[in-house]
Amino acid sequence: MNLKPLILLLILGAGVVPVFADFPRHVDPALLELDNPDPDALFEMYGGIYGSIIQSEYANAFGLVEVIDELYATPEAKKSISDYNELLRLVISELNETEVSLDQAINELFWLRETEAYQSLLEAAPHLVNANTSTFYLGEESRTIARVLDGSPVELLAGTEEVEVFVDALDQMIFESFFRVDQIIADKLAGLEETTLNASINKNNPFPGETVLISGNLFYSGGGIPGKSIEVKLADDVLGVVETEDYGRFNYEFVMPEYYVKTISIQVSYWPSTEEIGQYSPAITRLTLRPSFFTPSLGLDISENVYPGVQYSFKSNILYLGEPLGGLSFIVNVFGREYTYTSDENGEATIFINVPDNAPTGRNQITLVLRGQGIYGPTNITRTLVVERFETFIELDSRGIHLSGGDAVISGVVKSLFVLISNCVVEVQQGENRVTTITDMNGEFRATFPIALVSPSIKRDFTVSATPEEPWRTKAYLSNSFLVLNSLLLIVVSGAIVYYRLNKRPKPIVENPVIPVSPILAPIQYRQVTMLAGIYVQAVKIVTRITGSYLGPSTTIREYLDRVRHIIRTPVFLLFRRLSRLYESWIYGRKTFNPPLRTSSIILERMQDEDE
Amino acid sequence: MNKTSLSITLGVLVSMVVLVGGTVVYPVIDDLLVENPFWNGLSRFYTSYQPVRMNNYNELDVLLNPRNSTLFIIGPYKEFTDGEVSSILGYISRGGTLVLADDFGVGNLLLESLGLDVRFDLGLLRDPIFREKNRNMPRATANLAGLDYIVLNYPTVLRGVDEGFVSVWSSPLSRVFELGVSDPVWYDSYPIMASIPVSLGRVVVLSDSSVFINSMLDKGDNKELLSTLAKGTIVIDEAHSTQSRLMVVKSFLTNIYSYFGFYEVRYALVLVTLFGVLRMNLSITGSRVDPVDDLMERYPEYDRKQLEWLQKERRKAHGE
Repeated sequence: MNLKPLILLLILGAGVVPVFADFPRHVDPALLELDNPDPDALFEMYGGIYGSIIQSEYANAFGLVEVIDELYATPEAKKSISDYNELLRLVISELNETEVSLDQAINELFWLRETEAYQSLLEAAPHLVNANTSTFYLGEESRTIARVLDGSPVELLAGTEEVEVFVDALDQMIFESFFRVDQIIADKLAGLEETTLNASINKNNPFPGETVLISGNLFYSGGGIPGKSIEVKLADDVLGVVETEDYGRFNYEFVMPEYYVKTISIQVSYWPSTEEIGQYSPAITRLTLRPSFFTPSLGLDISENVYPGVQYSFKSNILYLGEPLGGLSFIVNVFGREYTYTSDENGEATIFINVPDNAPTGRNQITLVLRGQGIYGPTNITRTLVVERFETFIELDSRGIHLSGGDAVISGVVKSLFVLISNCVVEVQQGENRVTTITDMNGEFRATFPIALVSPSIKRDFTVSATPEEPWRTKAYLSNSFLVLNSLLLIVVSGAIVYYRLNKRPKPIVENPVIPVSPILAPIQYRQVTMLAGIYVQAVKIVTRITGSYLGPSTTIREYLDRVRHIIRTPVFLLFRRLSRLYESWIYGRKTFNPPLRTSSIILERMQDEDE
Repeated sequence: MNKTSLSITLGVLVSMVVLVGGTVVYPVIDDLLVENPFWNGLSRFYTSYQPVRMNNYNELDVLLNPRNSTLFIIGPYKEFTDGEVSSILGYISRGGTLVLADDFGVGNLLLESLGLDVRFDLGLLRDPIFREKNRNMPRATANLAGLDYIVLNYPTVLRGVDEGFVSVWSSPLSRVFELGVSDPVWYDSYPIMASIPVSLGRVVVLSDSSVFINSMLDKGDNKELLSTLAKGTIVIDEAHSTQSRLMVVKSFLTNIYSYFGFYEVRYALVLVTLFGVLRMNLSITGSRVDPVDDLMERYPEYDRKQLEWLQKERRKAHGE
C-alpha cells in the first residue's frame, strides 16, 4: 500500500487548520503553483513607466522595468513580458539619449556655440527616430502581452500613445533647435568673435607661502587680444585682475596662503565688458593646485600596562625635522573617549588617561590625531595600550549532601593573587533560587536557601559569580553541584526496615499441599483429584503386591518410587514411574485445570495387563 | 517461567520498545511547533535562538529581567485565560516585549484583552505584483534598518493602528479579500507590522503567523526580521498551540524520561529489573535427545514398543 499520498495529506493538513476563517493560515511554498501577475495591476505599473518617460525621469522608468523583469510568471507570460520590457527599455534608452543630446545642444546654444549645438542635434535626431520605431512595435507587443495575461490591452495602448505624443514633442524641439542654430550662425556672421583663454602655472605643488606664477594668453580666430581684463580667483576669493599685453599674453603672481589645504582651484576668466558685448565671447579656464605641506611627527611613550579604575599619565611630543612644535592641538582617542591637548613650547604634552572600570581586558588602541594647522598637514599615530586585571578565584567548601526540608548551604572564599577579597558581591544561582551576599573580612561567603520537603533526590547544579569591588580584578564564575536526598524517602525506607525486623516470623511449613481452586469449580476439581488419587492408589496396590514394599504414611511418592524401581519388572516399573510422576507433578507442581485422568487410567490399565 | 510466558513477556517488551522508539523517532508535524522540522514547523527558529518553551504562564511572572527579553506568541489556536492575560500584561508593564504574529487565529481576543485598538483584519491579503511565485505570498516593505522586504504566506492585514507605529507595509498594489466578498477594494498599501508602546514595554503585532516557519525563513529578509525582533531572553508560547496525539504522547514520554533524573526512580528500576531477572528461571537445554533412545541405551533389556507407546501417551497427555 502506498502511504505517501496519505502522509503528504496529513502533513499538508496540519498547516491548513482554519480557526476563525476559511482562509488557510499558510501553505507549503513548494506546493503553491506559479501564477501570473494580475494584468490590471501590471498595466498600472506600466502606466507608471509611461508617466516617468513623459516626465523625462528615465532612471525611474528603468527601475520600474527592472522590477517588472523580476516578477514571477509562467514561462509563456514571462517571455511576453520580457519581450515587451526589452522593447520598452530600448525606447527609454533612445529617448534618454535624445534628451541628453538635445539638452547639450540647448546648453551650447545658450553659449552661442552653434557648431557644437548642431553636432549634438545631429546625434539626437537618429535616437529619436529609433525611439519612434520601437514605440510602434510597442503597440503591437501590447496585444500579445494582454492576450497571454488575459487582460485588455487598452491601458498599454494608451501608454504607447502618450509616448508617441512625447516623441512628437521632442521632434518639435529638435526642429526648433536646428532653427535656433541657423539664427545664431546668422548673428555670428554679424561680427561676434569667439575667444579662447589659455593659462598655466609654474608650480603644481607649491608649499605654503611660496610664490606661484600664472601665465597664459587670450586669443580669437584673428589672433591674441591685447588690453583685455583677466580675472584670477583662488577658491572663492578674487586675487586680482591683470590686463593682457601684446598678443593677448598675461602673467600674474600670487603667494600661496599659509594654511593647510588639500587642494585649491584657480579660475582665470575673461568677461567682455559692456562695450565689448556683441564683439567677443566670454572665456574661462580652471586650474587645480595640490599644495605641499609640512608633516610633523607625533610621539607617544607608553611604558607600562594599565589597570581599570586608575589614572595614568603618558608623555607625547610633536616634532618637525627634529625641532619641537609648540601650540599645536591634537586629539587623543582611547576607550571610546576623546581628549584634546596642546603641545607646550618644547613640543610636549602630558596625557592623562583615566582607565574606565569597564575597560576591556587585553590590547586596546590609543590614537593621537593632529589635524592640519597653519603650515602643518594632518598626521596621526596609533599605539597599543594593554589593560590588565588580577584574576579572581572562587574556592568552595565541601558541598556535602543536603536533606530535603532543610537548607542548602553554599560557602567558600574569594581570592585574588593569594589575597582574600572582602566586600566582594557573590551571587549564587540554583534553579530559581538566587542569593546575593558579600564576602566578609576573611573573603568568606555563605549562601543559604531552603529545599522543599517534597523535593526528590537529585543532583542540583548551581553557579557562583563573584564581582570584586576593585575594577582591577576580574569577575569569577564557577559551576558546581550538590546532592539532595529526600527525607521522606529515608524515613519510609528506615521504617520499612524496622517494621520488617520487628515482625520477622519463621516461614510456616505447609504439611499438605493445598490445591488452589476456583470457588465455582471447586466441587468438580476435588472430585477429579480424588479420582486421580484413586488411580495412583490402585497402581500402588499392584506394585505392593509384586514387590511386597508398602507405601507408608511418611513415605513420599518419590521415595517409594526409588525403593521399588529395582524390584519390580521393568515394564511395570516404567508404567508405575510414569503414573507416579504424573500424580506427583499434578499434586505438587503447577496446577492445570484438569488432572491427567485419562492418561493415568490408561497407564493403570497397562499395569494391570502387565501384572496379569 | 515456561516458554509461552517468556515469549509473551518478551513480545510485550519488544512491542513497547518498538512503540516508544517509533514515537520518539517519528517527527512531529504539528503546525507552528518548535519540534516540527517540516515546512510548517518552527524548528529552525528553535535551533537558532534556543527559546524558552513556555507552557505555563506562571513562568512569565518569575522571568528575571523582562526588559531584556522577548515573548513570541505565533499563531495561537486556543483562547487566553484571564490569568494568562494578566501575566502578559504584567510582563509588558515590567518592560517586556510581546511579539504577536497571527492572521486567522485568536490573536484579536488577546489584543482586545490587552486593551489595544489594533486588530487583525481577518481578510486575506494578496499582491498580484510584489510577491513570490504566487499572489498569496506577497512581499511587504520593511522600514527597518538593514531590511528590504519580508515575504508573507496567506497573511491578513492590521486595522485600527496608528500609522506612526507601522514599520512594515504591503505594496500599493495589494488587495484584501474578505470572506464572501467577490469584489475586493482597489489596490492599496496596508499595515503589516506595528510596534506599539504599552506601559514600559511594547507589543509588536505582525499580521502573518507564517513569517518564521521553516519554509519561509529564507524568503526575503524574514530571517533578518526575526533577528531584529528576538532580543535578550527569548520565550515562545506553546500553551496555545495545537497538539496532535503524537505530540501528547511525546510530551508524556519526555516527562517520563525526566523522572529518571530522580535517584529513587533509577534505583527502583534497577531493583525491579534485578528481581525480574532472578525470577526468570531459564533452563537452557542443549540439543534434545529422544527419551526412548535414551532409555534403550541405558536399559537395553526394556521393551522398545512399550516405551514408544508410553512416549506417545505422554505426548498426548501434554497436548504436544
